Amino acid sequence: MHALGNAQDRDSEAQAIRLTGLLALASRGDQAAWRELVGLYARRVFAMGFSRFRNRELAEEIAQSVFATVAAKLASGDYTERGRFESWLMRVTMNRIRDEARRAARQAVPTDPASLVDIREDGQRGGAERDDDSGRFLALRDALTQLPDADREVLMLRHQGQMAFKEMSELLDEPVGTLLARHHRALRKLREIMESPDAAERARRVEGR
Amino acid sequence: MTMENLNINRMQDNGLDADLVATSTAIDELAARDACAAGRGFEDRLAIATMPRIGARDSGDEIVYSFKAHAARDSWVRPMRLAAMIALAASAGFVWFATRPAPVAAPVAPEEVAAALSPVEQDVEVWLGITDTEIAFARAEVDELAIDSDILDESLGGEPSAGAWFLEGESL
Repeated sequence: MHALGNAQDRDSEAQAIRLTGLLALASRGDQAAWRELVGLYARRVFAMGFSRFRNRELAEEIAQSVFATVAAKLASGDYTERGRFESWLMRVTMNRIRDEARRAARQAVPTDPASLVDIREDGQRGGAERDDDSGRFLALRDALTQLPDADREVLMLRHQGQMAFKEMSELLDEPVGTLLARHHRALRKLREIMESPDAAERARRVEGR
Repeated sequence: MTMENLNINRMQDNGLDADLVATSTAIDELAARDACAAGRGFEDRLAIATMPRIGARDSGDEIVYSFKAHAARDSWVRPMRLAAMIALAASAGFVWFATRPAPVAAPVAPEEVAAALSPVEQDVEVWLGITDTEIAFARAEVDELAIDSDILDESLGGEPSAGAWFLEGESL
């Protein structure tokens, strides 16, 4: 276990050095470095947007906006890498997602609660797209939408953003222990939602469609 | 998301209860599906779309350089440009003045001239009549005054004349 830990440390150190080099090259306008940088993080940023809005075009738009911001910052020469690039990138992403959620909330039209339940079950809330999720994933998505925003953000950063708790700690400015507890609580709530009788009923209706 | 990442996550989730590990793993799998939803070529599209931003600094330098060059050139170009504009305006004014058509008087009908002069002629005739009468009257008055003055001088004898009194400011 100790040897495995050392190997992981060496890997993360090598990745950090490589990332610093890529950032330096990209900030000088190196297109290959920029492509590699985008390749490393693009799908994680996209997954966070897609997980929140269930809309492919909107998720792409968010990713483009995030990387445009990053590119502009790098090109301006104002960014100095101190081993926190990933935290910063995810912060930009979270802010963009929050902005979009606020904009969507302002444009939302009050609707009959019963029809809202149906929309959630379809996984098409806010103009989202129908996908080929099985019943299990639909139930999971449904449960995720019922979580409070704070819990949902922790899960999104951890799973869609693939962030380590240490990076999440830098991003959210909270101790690692607090975040571990928050993650644990969020998973527990999610589990409870999925096991509730309402959820079972919804799952049956979804599978019966 | 690769299986390697999933395994790392599972290792980090070791502190979780068994049922929560299953939930955590399910979310990881969902996240992997979300990442795949972007479709093929997503990274390339994104890199190409944002590429101009990353190259912005080079073009920015060019802009700064050309701005500086323009500013330096302005220090001597601006007065010359001003002088050239003034010279051009003066030349245009001179050419216009030299080549402008001469003013042509509009022809006036003789009847109009006669009509305009008629009141003047009448006035002159009135003035002439008035002048003759007035002159004759004034001449008679002057004569009478001269006679009265002589009479007065004779009656006073050695006294100074009335005209002299008047001129010296003394009362009679």
